[in-house]
Amino acid sequence: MSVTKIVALTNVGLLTSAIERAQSRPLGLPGLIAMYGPSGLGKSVGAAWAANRYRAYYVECRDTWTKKAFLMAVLREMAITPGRSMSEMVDQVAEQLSRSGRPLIVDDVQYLLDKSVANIITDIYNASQGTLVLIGEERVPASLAKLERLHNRVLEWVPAQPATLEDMQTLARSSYPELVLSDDLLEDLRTAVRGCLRRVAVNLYRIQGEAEAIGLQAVNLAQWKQLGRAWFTGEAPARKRA
Amino acid sequence: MAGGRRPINLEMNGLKDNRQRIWEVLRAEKRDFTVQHVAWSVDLDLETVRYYINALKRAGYIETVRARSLRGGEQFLRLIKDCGVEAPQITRKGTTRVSGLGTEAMWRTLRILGEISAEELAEQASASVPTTPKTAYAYLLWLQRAGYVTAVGQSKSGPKGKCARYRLLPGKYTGPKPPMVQRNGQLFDANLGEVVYIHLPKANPMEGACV
Repeated sequence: MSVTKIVALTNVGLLTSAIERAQSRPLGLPGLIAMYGPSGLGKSVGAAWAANRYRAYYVECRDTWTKKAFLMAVLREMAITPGRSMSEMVDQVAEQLSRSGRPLIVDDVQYLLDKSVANIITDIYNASQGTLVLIGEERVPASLAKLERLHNRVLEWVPAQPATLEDMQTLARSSYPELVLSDDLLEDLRTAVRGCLRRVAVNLYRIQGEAEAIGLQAVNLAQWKQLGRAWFTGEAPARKRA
Repeated sequence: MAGGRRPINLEMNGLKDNRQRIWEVLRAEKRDFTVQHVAWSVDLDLETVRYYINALKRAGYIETVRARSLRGGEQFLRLIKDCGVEAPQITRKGTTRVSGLGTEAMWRTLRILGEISAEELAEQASASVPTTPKTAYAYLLWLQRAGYVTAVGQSKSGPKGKCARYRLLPGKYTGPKPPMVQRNGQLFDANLGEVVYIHLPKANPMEGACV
């Protein structure tokens, strides 16, 4: 079994162990976990892993969500028919969380924190005392700081880390097992994309394509430079001057 | 529970199997109950109910009320551990049932990550129970036949296109319960409560009746 591959990624490990600690926390300690960081660092991969590991309920927020939309989405995940009023729905969510002991993962929470929906999260937490995992972009800690009632219920802050060399090796091995990539090539890529795991994946795919086209089994930095291909960093190409 | 609708918060939506129906009766019951009583309420065979209730007893969800027993020897029972709307998935001996957890994890992963290869899906699902890429590939193929996922970036290399990535189509996340592959060659979606695909034997693997 190749179970060690995804769990070996830094951010997956960080999130999973934080939830582990929250699930086994002593009575009376708060149970909110906040993971934050720019997009593309593998937060969702971590969320998926943790959700599978702890059989967590998972919702992904949208910018347009109101309090009711949020509650309906959570209840849908729980397969519970929503009650008539919002307070009834909060009770339903809280009861199910505390009875089942399953964590609730709220992804893209930045959409909710600046709105009044955030108070619903506090309500759910207070009524359930369950494990709530909030995942969002970099401004999540700042937004949470404004919500004092929610802020002091955070047990652990988990900043998402940029990809390390080991992460990239793990990703390369699991995506393209036949391809051998040198560390200098990966290091150059890591600096170019500033540790964004999603762009690493895009570039690994490009390397694999090029290597397949010219029949290479192993690629190092010198060979890649020789091909004259630039890394895909997400910046649009500059206009060529005549 | 005599007549009327059960409180809504006690009910799970979607299609319910026998165990789910039994569990909902147990949760709604405020007084002590007997197996007979539950069997009447859910209109099920006495043995079916007894089987599940015995399992719940062994797992510590139910206890026998010693003080009272009927003349016929029926014991009075009481729910002592309530784990929420979902009926506990346990075996006859009262241990946690792992069958179905892998499929559930695969379905959850597809919903969270959207696009994934069979190998990655197997790894993700292995966070729950050990799952092989073969199992993941087979499940993806069923979902693809029924029109839940589409293969993107079909790879020429790799055995039988296993390196392809699959994407969950928009609007195809029907709910938290994973579509189940049934032994008779059907894909059943418990969220919708209907068979969504029937596989015709010996036909082209990609063809079949989409219900």
